[in-house]
Amino acid sequence: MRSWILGGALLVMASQLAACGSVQSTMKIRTAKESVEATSFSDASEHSVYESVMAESYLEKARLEWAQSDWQHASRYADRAAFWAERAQERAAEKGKPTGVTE
Amino acid sequence: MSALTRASIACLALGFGLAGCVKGQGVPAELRSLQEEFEEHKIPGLRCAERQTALAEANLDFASYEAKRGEVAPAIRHLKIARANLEEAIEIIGERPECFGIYDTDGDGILDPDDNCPLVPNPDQADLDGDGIGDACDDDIDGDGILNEKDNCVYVPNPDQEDLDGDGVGDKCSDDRDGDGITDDKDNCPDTPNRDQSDIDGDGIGDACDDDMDGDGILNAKDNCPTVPNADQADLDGDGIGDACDNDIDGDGVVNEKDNCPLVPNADQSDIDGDGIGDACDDDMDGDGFLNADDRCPTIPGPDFGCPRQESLVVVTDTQIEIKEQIQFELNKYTITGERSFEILREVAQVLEQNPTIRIRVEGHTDSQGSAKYNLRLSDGRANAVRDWLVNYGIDRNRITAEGRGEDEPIDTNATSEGRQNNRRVEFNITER
Repeated sequence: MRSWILGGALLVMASQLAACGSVQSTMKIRTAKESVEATSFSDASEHSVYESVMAESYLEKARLEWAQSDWQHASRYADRAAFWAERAQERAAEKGKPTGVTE
Repeated sequence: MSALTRASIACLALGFGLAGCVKGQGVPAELRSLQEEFEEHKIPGLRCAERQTALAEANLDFASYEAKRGEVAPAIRHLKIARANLEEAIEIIGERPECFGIYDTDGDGILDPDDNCPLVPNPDQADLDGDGIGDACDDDIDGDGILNEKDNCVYVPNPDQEDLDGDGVGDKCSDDRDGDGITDDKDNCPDTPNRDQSDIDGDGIGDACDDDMDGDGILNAKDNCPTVPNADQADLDGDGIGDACDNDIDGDGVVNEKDNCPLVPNADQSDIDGDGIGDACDDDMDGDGFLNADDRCPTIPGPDFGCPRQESLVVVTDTQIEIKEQIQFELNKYTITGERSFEILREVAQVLEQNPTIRIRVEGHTDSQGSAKYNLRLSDGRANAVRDWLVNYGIDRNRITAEGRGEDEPIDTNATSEGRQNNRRVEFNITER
């Protein structure tokens, strides 16, 4: 009886953890996507091609990992996508070009 | 099964053709190789092929992570994508200098590291002062320490900024430094205005800047006649003006061109003979043909030793050279005496010279005082004395004979003093013509 109870509890915990990873990676991908789009919609990508392409590549990779339910790696790539999107905008700003991003 | 083994199997199975796989090196080796190659080209790639570089880097990262997880197939696929993009990047980079941080900013065809003026086009790379800064962007082109904007001769070093004629163009780069209208290359005195280009001594140095204008070896400052060569510096009148350019050399107050004796002071301009040569420097003042030194009357013209001819003392007749006065002798001697006697004899001699065919006989006569014998000897001695004088004068001895006649041939009475004086005489009788 106790083992059944323990097993049930573990199952519940595992499903909750899985759900947590999914949500977290989804959120990160969404955030990264917004950043990348902000870069793409502005002319920042013209002045920071390298950073923009890096951001897009990582975002795409994050999505693929997410599609394969690999939340951990999806999060990792989403983080990197966001990082490069931010760098893209910074570099564009350094060049004195408006990024088009508004708060 | 290890990840490496699985990767090798995947290589063979998928046959992607990756060099590393074909050689059996496996994904890790291929990954390392590609990463090294990527790192080598990353910086030029970032400059010239950002997209390809980014794709190569991202896919390398994917492959690396996948390889660690043992996901061989995705790793190989991402390696392939990474290599493709890297090769594309390498192709774009090529040998373009700017990809390696070497630019030609001013676009003059000279890369910045080699361009002595990288921001201003200057394909000729001219650098006048050789300071390594091209003239096109050198604010002191000639390197004389004067900035171009203040330099009156930008392309020729002239730290002194000399501008003789004050025309704003420095002498060093002015073609007419003294501004006299003659270009320096043709100006015989380029630093001193001398439009006339006067050059007395013709030495090529204009008088205006020639410290020895006349070229006589005496510097102008010490030359008593700087415009006329006079190495001897002669200055007859000592007035400080050399004779060569003194218009009154002798300083007598009469200018040379009007001075009848310009080298000897003669303010009175006396000229007895009127020959235009002042007496002061005329060696025959009276112009009678006798030089002053030989002229007994240097200021009075005359044929007789420079003196006016006196009334003739002799007359030539058919039989005699008559003398108008008697020749005087010392008492009871044969010695001729008295200047007048010699004047008479000179005229007799001149007659003989002028009539070379005449031969004469000199006769001596006495009065009757004293013995006849004595008188004969006396008259003979005196006749011979006269003959000797004429011979000494230069008359041929053979043309003259001498003979004493004593008291035998009186021409007047011996009773009176006047008569006896007339009887004491010498005669010059012509014996042959």
